[in-house]
Amino acid sequence: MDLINVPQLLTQIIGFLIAFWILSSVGFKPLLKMLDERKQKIAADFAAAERARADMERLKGEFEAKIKEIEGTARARVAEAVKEGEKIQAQIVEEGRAKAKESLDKALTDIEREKDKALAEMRSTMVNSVLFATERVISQNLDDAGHRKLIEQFLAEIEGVKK
Amino acid sequence: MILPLLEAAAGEENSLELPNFVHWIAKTMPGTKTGEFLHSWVDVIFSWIVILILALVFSAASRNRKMIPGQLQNIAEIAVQWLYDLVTGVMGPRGKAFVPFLGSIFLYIFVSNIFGLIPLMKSPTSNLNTTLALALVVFVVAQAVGMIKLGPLGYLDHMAGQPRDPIGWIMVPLLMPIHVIGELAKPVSLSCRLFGNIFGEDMVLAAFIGLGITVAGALHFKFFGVPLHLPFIFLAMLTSLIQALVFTLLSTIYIFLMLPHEHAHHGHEVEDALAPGYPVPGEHA
Repeated sequence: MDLINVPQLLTQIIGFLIAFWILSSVGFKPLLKMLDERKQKIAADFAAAERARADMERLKGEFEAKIKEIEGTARARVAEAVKEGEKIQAQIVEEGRAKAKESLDKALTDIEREKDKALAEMRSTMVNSVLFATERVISQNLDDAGHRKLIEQFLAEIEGVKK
Repeated sequence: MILPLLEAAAGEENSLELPNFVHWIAKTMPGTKTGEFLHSWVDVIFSWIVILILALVFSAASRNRKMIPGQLQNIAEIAVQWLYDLVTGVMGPRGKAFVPFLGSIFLYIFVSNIFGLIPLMKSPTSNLNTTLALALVVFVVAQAVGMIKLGPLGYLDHMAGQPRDPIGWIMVPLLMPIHVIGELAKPVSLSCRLFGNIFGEDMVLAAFIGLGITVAGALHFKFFGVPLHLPFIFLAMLTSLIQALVFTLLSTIYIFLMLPHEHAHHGHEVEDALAPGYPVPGEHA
């Protein structure tokens, strides 16, 4: 057998050219196109993701600013409410004190009145008691007018002592 | 000295060769023209089988292509992307146009090389006609690229060593034949390297399989041989890949050398191409 067989050599050349044509048309070109398309799609997706991330960062910044603003407003409102509360508290305390003083004064007045009343009752009771006792002791020596005069004199002396 | 070896390798009757199914079919029809044809055209038949397999696999992979690829499409895309990176890594962005051609060469050679490792098959690349056919195609493509990209005068200028001074012009009669011989030597070196390696690989496998059968006979095994060739299968897989890669890379460089170089000095294109900072495979991924 010859080392180089020209018909076989030509057949192999034709065979390879056919293989190249097939592989190129159904393999390399469509697959390279697909790879390019995928590369572009990935790049576009990455760009979109980057844009979305930038938007998210911007929104995050805006939200953070808004949250800070809301927190400031809330803090101011709380401070205002505390101040109002303190004012109301002071007012309530003041009113309480006034009412307590009023109640105390009223109570003192009532006590004074009740004391006077009690003293008058007590004096009346004492007069009657003394009258009763004196009447029993000296009923036979003095008449009624003499008795009364004597007792009232006695009571006047007592009140003078008291005053 | 080399020629007798090549003659033996080209398929002499007594050469060491593993059996394949085409030879078996041929043996069923001894003395007929069909049997003779099958016997002498066995490598061509196997190369057509390789072409058929590649065509079927790639058409199946690229049919119903999807943005999210299936298994076969994924494998084909990985191979195509890898070849794209390999070629454009050497040639730069201009190499994109040559990816289908050089990629086809790689796939054809790699599958052909691997074919010899499958039982009852044969590597078409263990025949010089196959490898020479590929090398001649590369040679023609490289020269055509040179003619088209450099123009006829530019091509002649390139072959003359791009003389730009009196000494350069004086050297033209010396450099021109050297360049022509160099160009003609390229297909010879490409084809002989691939053929020699794959043929040698097949011979080693055949020799060790024969040795295993002999050892098995000595050990009274009747139905199978000792697999002494097993380590060489892995070696052959490696050399199959390496030889396909070497052929493809050298073809890429031969075509690249024919492209106009704005910054490279003649005679230093390969050194420039391999210099640090030049695009390397994987950079375009």
